[in-house]
Amino acid sequence: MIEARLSLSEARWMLQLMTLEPTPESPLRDPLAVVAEVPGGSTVEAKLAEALTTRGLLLSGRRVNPFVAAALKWLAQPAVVWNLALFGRGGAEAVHLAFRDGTAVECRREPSGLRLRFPLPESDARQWLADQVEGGRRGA
Amino acid sequence: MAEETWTGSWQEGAFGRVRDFVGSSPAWYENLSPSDVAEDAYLLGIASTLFLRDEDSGNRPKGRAGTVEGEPPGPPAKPLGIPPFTYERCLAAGPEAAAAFASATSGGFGALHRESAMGAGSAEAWSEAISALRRGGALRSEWPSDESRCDPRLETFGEDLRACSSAVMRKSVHAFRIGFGLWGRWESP
Repeated sequence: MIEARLSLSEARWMLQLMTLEPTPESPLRDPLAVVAEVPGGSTVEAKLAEALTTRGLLLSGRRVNPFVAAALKWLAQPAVVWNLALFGRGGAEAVHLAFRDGTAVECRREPSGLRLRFPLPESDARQWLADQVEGGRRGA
Repeated sequence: MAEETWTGSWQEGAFGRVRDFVGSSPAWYENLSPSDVAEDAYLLGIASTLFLRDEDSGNRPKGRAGTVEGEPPGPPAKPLGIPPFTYERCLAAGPEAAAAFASATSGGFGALHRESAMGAGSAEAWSEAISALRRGGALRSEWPSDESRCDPRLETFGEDLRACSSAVMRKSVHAFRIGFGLWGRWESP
C-alpha cells in the first residue's frame, strides 16, 4: 500500500502539471479552490518540486510519480465518492473515499494538507464504510 | 373619530432597512445547497465534540466501532488495505519486475495499478517510480496506525490557515444571513 501526504499547494501544483481539473463531485475541489495557481518558474514552484522529489512523489524531469498521478486522477475525477466526518477524542476528521473501476483511494484532511492511501480494494473499503456507519449508528 | 394608525418605532424601521439590504425574501435558508447543508453538518459535528462523553475521556476502555456495550469483544477488525501487490519485488529492473509490469498493464493488479503502469510506460520507469516511493518512505507493508498522522508536519505556505480562516468567515456570513432570513418569520412560515 502507498501512503502519500501532500500539502494543498503541492496537490494543486501536481494537478496543474497533469492538467487535471477536479469535477464538482471531487473531494479535492473545495480544499484546492482556495489555493492560488502556482506560477511557473517561481521560487514557490522550485520549493514544491524539491519537497516532492525528496518524498519520491515527483520524478526527474518534473514527472509526477505515476502511482500518485493515478491516485490524484481517482480523486479528481471519481465515479463515486463517500464523504465521512469521523468524530473522536481528537475532534472531527474528514475522510473521503473515491471509487472507480473496483478500486478506492482514501483521502483524509489533516492540518497541513491531505493524506492519501491507495490502492484499496473496493470490497475492503465498502466493508470499512459499513463498519463506520454501523458503529456510528450504535454510538460506539 | 380619529383614525388610529400604528407606526413602528425608528428601531424597527432601521432594522427593516438593514434586513432588506442583507437579504430579502425568499429567506436564505430556502436556498441552501446540498454542499451548504453538508458543511453545516460537518461544522456542527466539530462543535459537538466539545461535549465529550465520560467514556471518551478515558475512564472506560472504548470498544471498537460496531460493538455494543456488554457484548464480549469480537475478533480484531480486519485491517483495511491489505497489500494486494508486493512492491518490493519491483524495486530493481529485471524479469520479475517486467512480468509484474506486464501483469499490471493488463489489469491483473487492479485498475489503479493499470493506470499507473500505463502512466509509467515501461518496466524501467515503473521500477523507478516504486523505488522513488520507497526512498521517500511512502511504501507501507501494513495499515499505518492513526497515532502517526500529521507527523512530521508538512511545509506549507500558510494556505491551510488561509483556507480555514476563509471557511470560518464564509460560514459566519452564511449564519448571519440565515439569522436575518429567519428573523420575524416564526409567525408566518
